[in-house]
Amino acid sequence: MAEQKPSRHKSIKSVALGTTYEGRDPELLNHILPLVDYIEVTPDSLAEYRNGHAVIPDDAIRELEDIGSDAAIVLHGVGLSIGTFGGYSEDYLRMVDQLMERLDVTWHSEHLGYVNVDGQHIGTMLALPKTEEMLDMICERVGRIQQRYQVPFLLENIVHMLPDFPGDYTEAGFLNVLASRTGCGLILDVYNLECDAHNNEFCIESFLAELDMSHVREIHLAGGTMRGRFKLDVHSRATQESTVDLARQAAAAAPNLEVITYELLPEYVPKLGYAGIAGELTRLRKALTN
Amino acid sequence: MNLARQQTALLSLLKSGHFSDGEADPYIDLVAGSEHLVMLRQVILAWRFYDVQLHCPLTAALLKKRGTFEETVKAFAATPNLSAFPDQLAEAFLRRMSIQRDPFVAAVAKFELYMTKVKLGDGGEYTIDWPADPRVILRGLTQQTKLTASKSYRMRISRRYPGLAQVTAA
Repeated sequence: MAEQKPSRHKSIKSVALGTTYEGRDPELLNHILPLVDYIEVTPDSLAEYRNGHAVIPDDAIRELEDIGSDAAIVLHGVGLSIGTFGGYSEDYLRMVDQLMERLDVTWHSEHLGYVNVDGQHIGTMLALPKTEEMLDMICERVGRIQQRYQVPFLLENIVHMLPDFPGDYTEAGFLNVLASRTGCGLILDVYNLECDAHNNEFCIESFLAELDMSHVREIHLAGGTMRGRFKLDVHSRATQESTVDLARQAAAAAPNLEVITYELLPEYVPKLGYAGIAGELTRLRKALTN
Repeated sequence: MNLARQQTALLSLLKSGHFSDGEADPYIDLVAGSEHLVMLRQVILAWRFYDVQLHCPLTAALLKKRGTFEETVKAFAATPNLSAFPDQLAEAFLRRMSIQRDPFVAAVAKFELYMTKVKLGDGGEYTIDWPADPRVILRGLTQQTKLTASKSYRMRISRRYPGLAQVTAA
């Protein structure tokens, strides 16, 4: 039997628990809502393509409206492509506009990467070179996004699927300057850190020691798979104990942390099953917020 | 390195495995020769396989039966301007399959394409010519039976037909 959530936004450090919901699966919603404080919604996953533009259908928004006070809603996109040299996606922001108009959104967030080049989707998400040029570009774009919406904007560290371009900053150094210059919050994805450590000999300890943890408002964690020697950020499984330990360590060092979010792709919901997902959320609440 | 050029180069490496604009570039050479790129291209392709199987199940089943599923999707995935939205990706794939020389593949792809349109509210009427009885072909997709051309059939797809389709011997 799944353990019920005690009350919204409560735990030893007032850290809440969240999880992914991509819409149109009411049974999943019924299973997760009693267990979480936040629902993470990906606008891109709700959207349909109509007349050359991505649009979120009314029924999908109504379903989220119905969540009401049962959980807070945060938006977490994948299609903004904030690092594309030619500009970020206005199509993505139009989806955010739609949701902001109708929902009480606590904050919205994106990934520090890019998915589009020359108007084409690249089929994945790539990390940004940590250069001065890139930092200036991202800061200017974050400022524009912050002006557009009245809720906080957060950016997340992503996995490095390709070798890094030699930049002017370390990973943590880039995030520190970005967050302090713009005032944007950070999402720290600890599973992404584990992937980078496994694939690229990235030193998590040095990263965490250098990162200004006061900017971290949210922690993400997930479970993935291996492909050959590579650990993939695929959000397909329950979390490993090492990921939970890392989340616990990061949470203890993040004074402004508000929520820890377990992410699962909708494609893998049938594999874990509703009861399996509920069990995972119960386990994470015990491990991370008590 | 110029940011625009770097991103264009990486797009090309992801799509085709190659990039050349006549300029030497140690970083692009590093990525091009990396096992990371090989793995990432495999992962992207695996997602395309998944998308096509999920959103075009009948056409995917026929291509698998023909033994050409992976090479067909791989060729499709290399084309420019593919949408990030699975339903758009599926439509583009079915459009491409609907003009294949193989009349079975073309007919099944058109069937999935037009059925999706009509189910989503399209008020038009669409015609598909089949190289054999479509009911037999569609049943045969999930069975071991061999698909062979016989008498031609014509199928009309529209919201005005019960079950959305009407089949007649041509």
